[in-house]
Order: sequence, then structure tokens, then C-alpha cells
Amino acid sequence: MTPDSGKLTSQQALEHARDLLGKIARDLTISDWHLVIDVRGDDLPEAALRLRDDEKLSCKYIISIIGVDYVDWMETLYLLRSLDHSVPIRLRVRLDREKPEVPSVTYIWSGANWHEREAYDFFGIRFLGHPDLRRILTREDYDTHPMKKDAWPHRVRRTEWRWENIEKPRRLPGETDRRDRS
Amino acid sequence: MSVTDELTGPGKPSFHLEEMVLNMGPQHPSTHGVLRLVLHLDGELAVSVEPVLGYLHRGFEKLAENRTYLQYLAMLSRLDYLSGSFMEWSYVRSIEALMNIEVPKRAEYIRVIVSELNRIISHEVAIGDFMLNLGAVTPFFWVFRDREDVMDLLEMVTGQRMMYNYMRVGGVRWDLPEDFEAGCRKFLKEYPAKIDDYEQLITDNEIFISRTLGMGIIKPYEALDYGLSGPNARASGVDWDLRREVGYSVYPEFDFKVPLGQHGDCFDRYKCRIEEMRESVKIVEQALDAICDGPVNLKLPPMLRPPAGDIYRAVESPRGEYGVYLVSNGGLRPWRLKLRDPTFSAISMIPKLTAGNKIADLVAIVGSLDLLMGGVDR
Amino acid sequence: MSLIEKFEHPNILTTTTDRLFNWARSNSLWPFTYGLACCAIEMMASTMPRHDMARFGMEVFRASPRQADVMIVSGTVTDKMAPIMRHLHHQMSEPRWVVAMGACAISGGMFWDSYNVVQGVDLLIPVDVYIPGCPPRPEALIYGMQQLQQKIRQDTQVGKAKKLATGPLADYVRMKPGSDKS
Repeated sequence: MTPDSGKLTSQQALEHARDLLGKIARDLTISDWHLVIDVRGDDLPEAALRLRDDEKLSCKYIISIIGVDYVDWMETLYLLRSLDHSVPIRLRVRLDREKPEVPSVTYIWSGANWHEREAYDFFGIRFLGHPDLRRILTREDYDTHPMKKDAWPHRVRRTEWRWENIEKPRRLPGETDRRDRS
Repeated sequence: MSVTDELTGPGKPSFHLEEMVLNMGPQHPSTHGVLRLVLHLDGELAVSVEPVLGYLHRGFEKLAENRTYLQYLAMLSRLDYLSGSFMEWSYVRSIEALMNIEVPKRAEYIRVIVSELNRIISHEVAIGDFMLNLGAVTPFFWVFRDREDVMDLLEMVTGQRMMYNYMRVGGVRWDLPEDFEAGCRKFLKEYPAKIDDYEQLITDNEIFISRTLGMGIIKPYEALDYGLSGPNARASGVDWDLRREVGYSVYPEFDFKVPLGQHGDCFDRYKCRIEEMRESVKIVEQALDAICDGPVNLKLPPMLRPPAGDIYRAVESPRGEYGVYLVSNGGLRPWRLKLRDPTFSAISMIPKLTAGNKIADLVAIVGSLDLLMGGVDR
Repeated sequence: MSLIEKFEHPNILTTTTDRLFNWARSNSLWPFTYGLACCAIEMMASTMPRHDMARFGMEVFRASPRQADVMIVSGTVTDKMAPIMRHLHHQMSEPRWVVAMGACAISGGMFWDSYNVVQGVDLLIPVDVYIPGCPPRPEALIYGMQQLQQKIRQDTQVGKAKKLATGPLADYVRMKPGSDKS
């Protein structure tokens, strides 16, 4: 837990990011030696691209994409890191809770693909332009997004569990029924 | 009219164009648990591979919102069940950082010792499983035989074979038992010879080399692009280890190497794990030498109330960067807990990595990534 | 001197069919490698050199349900896995037995209130032996499998057939044409 072990201090990273992003960054703060950058959803791809391609803050490595539900609003956090210095950068986007939509960054980092699918699965956040936005962890016919605060998907009693509520095995994607083949 | 024309003539379905869909898993011995791969095959070649997750999705992140901080600690080692102590470590580190707690020095050493022993047994299973995927059964028996020795040591310390539940916010549960140090030193003395045995059995094996060399190559920029970390990324030459770069806990005091690969193929990933086991032995030796007396935990109330705020803390687990993002609202329970698993990123690379390979090679590549579905599905 | 050497001439042993079949069945259990979660590692460990399950004649783990006698459900069964588990259980040929290994397989364990976890596999398939623990030690698994052997030895095939032949399902069992008198 040594903040100074990287080549760039958090303060230097902050100043550099301010120059780099200009008006795109609505707010830059340092929280626990991480650099937190607030951006609007529309500016997200631009900010992500600049952070990735910048020589000093080269955020080539995406740690994770995190959705958070704060009842009044939602957030997506993009945890980024460069291997040249060890100041992790969080891109923070505030979303409308009724209609959570944000542009996808899959074409900037390939690793973002599944993290976005997971955020969609858990929170129902729509990533516009995502190549394949489907549920990833829960069942395909699951009716809620379980990590939302108003969803209360806990099981109550063992006796209420019914086999009939569970989906029957489905056909694989691309698989044809044997009877269909003449 | 020849037979071929009859079968492939106009209006007839062509044989070589038809893809076969093969469903590998979720119950399959070589997919490491409950991973399901939907393969589109052209003969023996996999045209496209689609991993399907979620067969072990237990809702860890939602359950965290329904448990107190200390209650949830018991669940964490079930997450990535081969390396439970790392999950606990990253979780308690995040709470300690939120509450500004300074951990006693002795507790930090004990954490390092337990975790590095845990890294050894995790890598052992990784290597054994990889060999089993390639069709070699003997290494699997060997690693499980030697694994029991480490598990005896860990059971001596923590009381459980696999699910340690040993770390606490502000230290560890209890001190090391009296006869641990002698037992551990005896193990550390004997163990490098056993790694040599593995190497003799596996590394120089002609069949192993021909099946893994140049197979499933990950370029350094691809590894970063997909967010790989740990031995998978280091085998590609990405020189990044949180233990060294961030230097959490007492790791800066120790002298250890970060083994790197050159080509990023299956062989390098295997070799990296072997070398890391040797380094772990060195770290435990140094920690046993340097360990100091003192308290092992702080007296904290069982009902923790970390101040409101958010924090991200990560540790270098055997599979890579294992991170916890914690949002607290000052209450008894976490508001949001995100568990960042390195294997999740590694699996997202499988479609790119395995498409165009034969099924037998696909199994080798999947095995070399050291997947564990408990952490991926959560 | 073993028993077989006592017989100088070709000889006849008398026993009941039940005993003969049960003896054979209980001493050559072929488990099904159905590793789901943490318990699977302990299941593997129990077949390995330290705790050698082969001593009791139950080490031949089969990857195909068609070749297996006993299904060791080792780990948490989720809603997504439930249909597949039932499917695999149906694929096993009779006689078949199920061992619920660990707290999750018995009742959902510490994930009992999760939205995606089945609260015990006995909601889906009949279970013969429950082995508590989280995860159970290899010794516990071996003891549980020995209990299953005991259970098999007490089983009666003749009685079962008789019960089927005279019980409420008799007509369906005999498959007599015209037996449905309604």
C-alpha cells in the first residue's frame, strides 16, 4: 500500500489528465491514491480513447467494469490501469436510473465485452453498440436484474421451491432438431 | 454420375460445408468444473467456440448485501476454492483501508506465509489438471500426493483443509501453532526436490513439448487488451506483479523474482507456474526468518461499521489480480461488493484463442489457462 | 489359505439372489464425475494416494452417466444447472444411487437464500446418502460411501419386484394388453 511506488504520483496523473481531457472531464478527484474522473455518458468513448492512447497515462489494461445502484441514480465505473505507472484510474459515469444507457467501449478494450454483459445482466444497463448484449451469468429467461436494489430475488423457504419454475433444457444455438433434417 | 456427384451435386447438401455443433460441458472432466463450451466443428477443427457461463452462479455479490461484514468473510473462500486465502485477503484489505486500520506486523507475516503456501497448492492443481487434459495421469496423482503435505500445514494453522476463514479485519484469527515452524521448514526443505521431480516428469517430455510449444499464443498487447493478469499474462512477457509493483503488505521486504515467459504459449504458462512455486518457497522461507513477535489481531467489535466511501483493493492471487471494490454507506452491511476475478477475463479470451484449432489442442489451451469456475460465476 | 482353495472338487455354493447381486453391486460402485464446486476437489482428493478410495472398490470414476452407478453431487446446484442434473440422472441406468455431498447439495448450505441456488438436490432427484460438511473431508466421503454400501447390501430385488407386481402400479409394470380396464 505504498502510493509512491509508481513512477507517476496521483497528483501528477491528475494534472496530466486535466490537460489531456479538457472539458470532457467534469470533475477530477483523488480518492485513496486512485484518480477518479467523472465524465458524461456521451463523452465516455472519447475520454476512454484518449486515456488509452496517451503516452503518459497509457491505460491499456482494463481491470473491470462495475455497476453500482445508488437508488436515486446508477453508476458505471471503468477501472483502468497502466503498467508504466501504478495509479489506477476510475472513469465514472452517472446514469439515469429509469433508462440506464451508456455507449459501449468494447471496441476500445476487447476485455470490456464480458464485463459489460455482466453489468447488463446484474443491473440492466444497456451498452449501446455492444456486439452481443445478452445475459451471461443468470438464466436466459430470468425476469429481473438481481443486483438492483428494488429487486428482492432472495429465496424465502425451501418448500416454496418448485421444479416447474425452472426452465427446461433448451436447444443449443445453431442446433437443429434431428427431426427437421429430412 | 459418380457417387460424389450424387452426394454433392446441385440441390444436395454439401458435406464439407455442414458445421457440427458439439456441446462440451457443463459436465465434462476437462473443462475444469462447470464451464460449457459450444463448439462449431468442421470435422476436427473448431470453427468457433462460445463459452457459456453461469452454471455455478451463486449470487455472491447480492448475498453480500444481506450479510454483515464479518459474516460474509466465511463465504469468500468458497469463491475461488483452490486459493481461498487470497479472496479473504483482498476483502479484509479493502475494509482495513476504509477504516484506516494498521495491521500488526506479525499478522502480515502470517498472512504472507499462509497465502504463499496456498499459492503452491493452487499451482499444483493447475499443473495436475493441465496434464490430465493432455492425457497424462501420473502428474495428477503426484501433485495431489504432495498437496496433502501443504494441506496438513494449513490445517494446523487454520483448522480447515480448504476453506480457511482465517483472516480477520485487523489481523488473523489466531497465532501460529507451536510446531508449525518446524513442520513448515521441513516441508520447505523437501519441496524443491519434488518440483524437480515434476520437471523431470513433465518439462522434458517429448509429447508434452510437441503438444504445448507454440500452441495458444497470446501476444503481450492481446493479454493487456483482454485484461489478463497473473501467470497467464506473465507468460506473454507482461512484466507485472502486484506484489512487486504495488508492494502491499510486507512483500517489499522479500527478495523474489517474477518469472516471465517469452512466447506466451501453453508451455510458457506451465513453466511460469513451476517457477512461481519455487519463488513461493523462497518467500515463505524469508517470512519464517523475518517473522517478529507481537499481537496477531486487533480487538475490534464484531459489528464493523466502516465509514461511507468506496475503495478498490487487489492482491496477486495464483490466477492474477484478484480485486474487491467495496461501497459502504456507513451501515452494517456492504452497499455494493464487486468481486473482480482474473479468470473471468481469461475465459473471455477463449473464443479468440481457440478458434481454428483442433479439439485436442483446444483442450490443451483451456487447461493451460488454469480456469476455476467458482470465481468466474460467483 | 483362502476360501477358494478349500474346494477340491467343482462345488456348489448356495445363497440368495439378493445377496449375490447386492454383494456384487456394493463392491464395485462406479461413481460419476459430477464435480460442481469446492466439494469436487475433496472428491478428487479422496481418490488420490493419501485417502485411497480404491481400497473399498469405488474408485473407477466415469465421465459418462451411462457407465456410472452412483452420482456424487459435489457442490452447489444452481437453477441453471438443475435441468442438466436431472437430465444426467435420467441418463444413468438402473440401479442408480445419489449421494449428496456437502451442505450445498443437502440444503443450499450458506447460499440458502440466494436467488439462483437450489435448496437441496432432494428437491430434484431422490437422494440415498447425505454427507454433511463444507466441504466434507475425504474421510467423511469414504464413510458416506460405505454407508451407501451398507444400504445396497440390505436392498432386496425380489421384494421390490414382488411389490411392483402386486402394488398399485402392477398393471403398468406387467404391460398386459388390455389391462387398463377403464
